[in-house]
Amino acid sequence: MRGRVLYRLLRPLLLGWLLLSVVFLLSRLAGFGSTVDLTPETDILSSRQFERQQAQQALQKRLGLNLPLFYLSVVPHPSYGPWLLAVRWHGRHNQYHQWLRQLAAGSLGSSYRDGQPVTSIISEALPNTLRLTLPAAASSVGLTLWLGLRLARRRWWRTWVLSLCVALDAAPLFLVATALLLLLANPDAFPLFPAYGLPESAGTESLWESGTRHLYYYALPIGSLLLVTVPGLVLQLVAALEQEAGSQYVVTARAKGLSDRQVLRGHVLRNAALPFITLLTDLLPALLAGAVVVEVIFALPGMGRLLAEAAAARDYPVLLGGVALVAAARLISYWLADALYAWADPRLRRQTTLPTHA
Amino acid sequence: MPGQTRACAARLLCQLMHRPWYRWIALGWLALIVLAAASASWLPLPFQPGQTDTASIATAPSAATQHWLGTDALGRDVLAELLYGSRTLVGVSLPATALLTLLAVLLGATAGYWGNTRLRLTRAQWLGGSYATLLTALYLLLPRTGGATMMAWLLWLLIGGALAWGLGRTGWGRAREAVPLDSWILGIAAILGSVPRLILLVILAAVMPFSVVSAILMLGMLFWPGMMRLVRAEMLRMKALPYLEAARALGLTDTQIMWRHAWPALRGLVATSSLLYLTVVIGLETTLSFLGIGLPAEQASWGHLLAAARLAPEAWWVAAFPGVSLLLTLLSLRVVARKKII
Repeated sequence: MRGRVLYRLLRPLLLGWLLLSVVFLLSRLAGFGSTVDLTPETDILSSRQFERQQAQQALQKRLGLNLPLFYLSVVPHPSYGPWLLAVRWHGRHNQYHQWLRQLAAGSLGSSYRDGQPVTSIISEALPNTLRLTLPAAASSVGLTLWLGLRLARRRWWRTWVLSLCVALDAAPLFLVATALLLLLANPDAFPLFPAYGLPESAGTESLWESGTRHLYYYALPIGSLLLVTVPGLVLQLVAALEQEAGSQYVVTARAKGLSDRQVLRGHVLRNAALPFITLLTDLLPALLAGAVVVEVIFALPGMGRLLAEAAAARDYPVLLGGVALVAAARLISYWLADALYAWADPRLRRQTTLPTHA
Repeated sequence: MPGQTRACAARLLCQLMHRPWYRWIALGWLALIVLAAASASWLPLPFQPGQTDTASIATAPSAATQHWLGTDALGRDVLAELLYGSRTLVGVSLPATALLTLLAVLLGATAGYWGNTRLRLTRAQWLGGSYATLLTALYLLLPRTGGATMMAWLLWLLIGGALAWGLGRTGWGRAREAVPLDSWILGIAAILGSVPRLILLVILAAVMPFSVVSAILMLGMLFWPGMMRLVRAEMLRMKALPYLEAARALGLTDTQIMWRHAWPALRGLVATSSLLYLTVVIGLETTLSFLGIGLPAEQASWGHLLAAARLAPEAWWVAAFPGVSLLLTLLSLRVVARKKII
């Protein structure tokens, strides 16, 4: 039992490490190929070429790119060519080992673009993303529960809302965000909200003032995230509630004389929650991915925009740091889901096999 | 339980969408898109995609300038971009979805049917297989490859094959061990799933810039896990059914069982879910183009057009036409897909 729990806790860690390693090796392989093709071709240019080569080599040395990539490398045999392969062992003096040691020490290297340590870049960008994603996550769960419970009692507007949910569920996030931007933050349409950026802090102000100002700037980004995540969740929750509503314990509960509301909240919701929790596991990572789109569109200086810019500039250390962070978010949401499962279903607390949602 | 819920959600959607005219409109729209994609280069368009008309920048749709759907902030004709964009859309997303479906069905059926214990290879096959994999990996890692490298690889492969065959004749080599196919396939799916796909795509776009072909390969190779799980679950359910047991008891080979008995039962599920994954792929492709890290900028794409809409917020026509087309396409695909579930 304890081994099983340990396995479930450690497996995502192992998967994250594997993925990071693959991304690291791929990125270094790609970066290596682009800098190594510098051979002098003509005599006139050769001195400048040579200087450039020297500069390249110095840069590579500074970034630690002159070391071998991995513990092992494969080269054609010196005397037999490709007919016999030579595998070289480099020991601990390689890029991967150094990167891993840095990672274990909590450092992610420094950016290729401005030489700042990646950890400080990320710690600058992360609060902006958290201010976007955490309220979005909390309010999407809240809104889903509220809407789902109201829709479970067949109202006249049920069909309309569900149809709207289907339509919104089909729309990709960037489309919704662009539509909101062009409708509600457009001087030619309805200039209700700011189109981009973050508020500058205006010195001394009360908590209320800064809160409302932040709300004003974050309303559209959070709104577009909500419009994309909530419809899918609502559709699933309504379906789950409907499925549970036909079961016998509901009949029993009604026969006991409970009201609709009590049956729904006390009995049905808890049983319908299990598949819903599975969906919640994906919510946090999905919101982080959504942050890439939303932050680019609304020009918020957060993790998502950092990742997109780093990808455009091929700033691999920053990219790897971002991936590590996203993988960590995934890890946390797995553990959270496990805890929630145990809360929702007491049987799982004693059972040795937890439900698989990996 | 999630599977049941999904089926229930599908039924709910069916109730909402169970109106015949929805379906006809959806099919008509999809046919229009495919037609536009096929005939884009033959249509007598006054402007070509990517061609900037400096005389009319962000002009409203009008017949006088021959920009029937207007121009964007760079002076490109919206109609031409839209038509050629539909060609990109169809040309990227259909092959990518086909690749995804192929991978998902192959891997899902394999994982579900053979599981962790069913496929038992002899030790000789094990050794030969691992040797071939290791050799191929080593030769792929070589910095430079040429004809001689290929020949050397083939030679070593042949030698290994001969040795493995010889080993298979001995008593030790003939003993069988199970292959944990299911665990392997689920493990790869879990690695791919440990980071959101959009972020994975952003990173891969940084490592190797996308062309049409590499975009197809990337989208196809990253998105199979979801559908693989569906196929695998269906296969697991089917494996316990009497007719498959009867087929096994009759002594049919695995290939016959898979092709003649399992595949016809899987076909409906595969058709439906591949339509749904088509919407995912289309959404991803346009998102990447929109972010400017997908296809090269000179390739006409609805995502590029929508990105240009932000440059001229007063030009509603730049955002409205591709946006509505994209939404209609995704909705139509859903309507068509839902019909098939029940």
